[in-house]
Amino acid sequence: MNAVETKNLHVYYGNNHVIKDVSLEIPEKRVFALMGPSGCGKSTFLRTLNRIIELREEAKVEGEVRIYGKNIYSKDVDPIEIRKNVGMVFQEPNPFPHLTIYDNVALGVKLNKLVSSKEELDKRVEWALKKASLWDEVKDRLGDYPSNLSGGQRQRLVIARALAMKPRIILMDEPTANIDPVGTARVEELLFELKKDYTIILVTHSPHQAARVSDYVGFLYLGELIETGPTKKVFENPEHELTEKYVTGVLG
Amino acid sequence: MRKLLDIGLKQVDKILKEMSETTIECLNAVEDLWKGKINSLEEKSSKLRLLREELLDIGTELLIRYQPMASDLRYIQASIDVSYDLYRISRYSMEIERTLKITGLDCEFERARETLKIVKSMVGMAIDAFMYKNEILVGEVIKMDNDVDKIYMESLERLNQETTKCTAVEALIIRHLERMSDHARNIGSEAAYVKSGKRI
Repeated sequence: MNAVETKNLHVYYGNNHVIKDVSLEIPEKRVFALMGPSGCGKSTFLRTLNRIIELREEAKVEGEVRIYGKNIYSKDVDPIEIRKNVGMVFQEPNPFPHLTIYDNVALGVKLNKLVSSKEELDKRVEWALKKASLWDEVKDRLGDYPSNLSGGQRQRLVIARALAMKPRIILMDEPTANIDPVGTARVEELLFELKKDYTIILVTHSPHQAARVSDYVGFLYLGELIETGPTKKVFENPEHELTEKYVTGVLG
Repeated sequence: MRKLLDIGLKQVDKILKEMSETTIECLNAVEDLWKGKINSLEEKSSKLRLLREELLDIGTELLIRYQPMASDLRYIQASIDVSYDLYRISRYSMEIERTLKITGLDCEFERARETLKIVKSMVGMAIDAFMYKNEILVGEVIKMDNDVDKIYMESLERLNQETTKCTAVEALIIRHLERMSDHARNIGSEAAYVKSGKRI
């Protein structure tokens, strides 16, 4: 089953045509990596999948984005509901600095009234931190603030925050761009665990990261989807000359 | 980054060229054996082993350092395989030399001589196919390999009819040539893989 499908998707920022007729299918419970050079529209594409693109006033979306078959741009769809099902992790680890580790994970759950008691909330926080492979490192200091965590730990805290909402899909926008190699390795290992239960869509400018972590990969160039397919196929024997040039480092 | 990888790929290319030349020398030396001239095939084969080890080292280093992809990745994988094929061809040349030395027979080995000519031509074509990514030559090599297979089967069948020492030794020599022919075919297949990404 496809978790995500886009059909003839176009995005404009004012007169700037950023995403051009992208039709794509992303199977569920897999890691899909979208790669491409800086400025090709990767992050913009990602932001269409949970409608946070609409936070930019000048953005205009045409075409369809279907999450488990439902077009999320239909008039009857509430974007808040979409975002509960489609969590997001950004490039900069951005936990709330004024909230404790516990409260960072608990906040969204409380605000959305997803649990009915303190015990249930405690369990949800512990579950999310375990899922994010962070529990063992923070279980004795849940009252600490995120500033005491490393960059990699902060990013896993943000992933725990997203997981606590029990989404079906997680969007990750260059999640390791600002963390060290050890932190990067932990996040990448985590993706392998998470894909058992979630569909993960990862944006990266690094073909090597895409090759390491993804099951399927797409190559976006100047807003167009040039090629998509199983990771091994695309990296061993790309169909399109532009993909070949990108992954061999010739493009640009 | 791209430039550094290219330097490594050129080194691989250079070693493969040297290995190819030495392999052809080995086949020429086998031809000389019919004229009673014993060559230092063991020395040539040892040289190929060392070159293969060097290529393997460089190839591994390139994989570790640059994590090459697409045609670069295929070229490195294929070069490592081709270096093995070339080395094996030299080993079979050495085996023929050893067989002739030990048996010390003064036979015509007409069929073996003809087969050697085909194999020599195949190896040259397979090397060219790989160096110049020429898929037409690959097709030729595959056809010739089928011919050599047939010759080998015939040499075995001949043993049912006449089991002289000469026919037995000739069958053994053709057996070694048939193995060389298989390695030439592998080299051709690697050329096709580098070019199109598809395994034949």
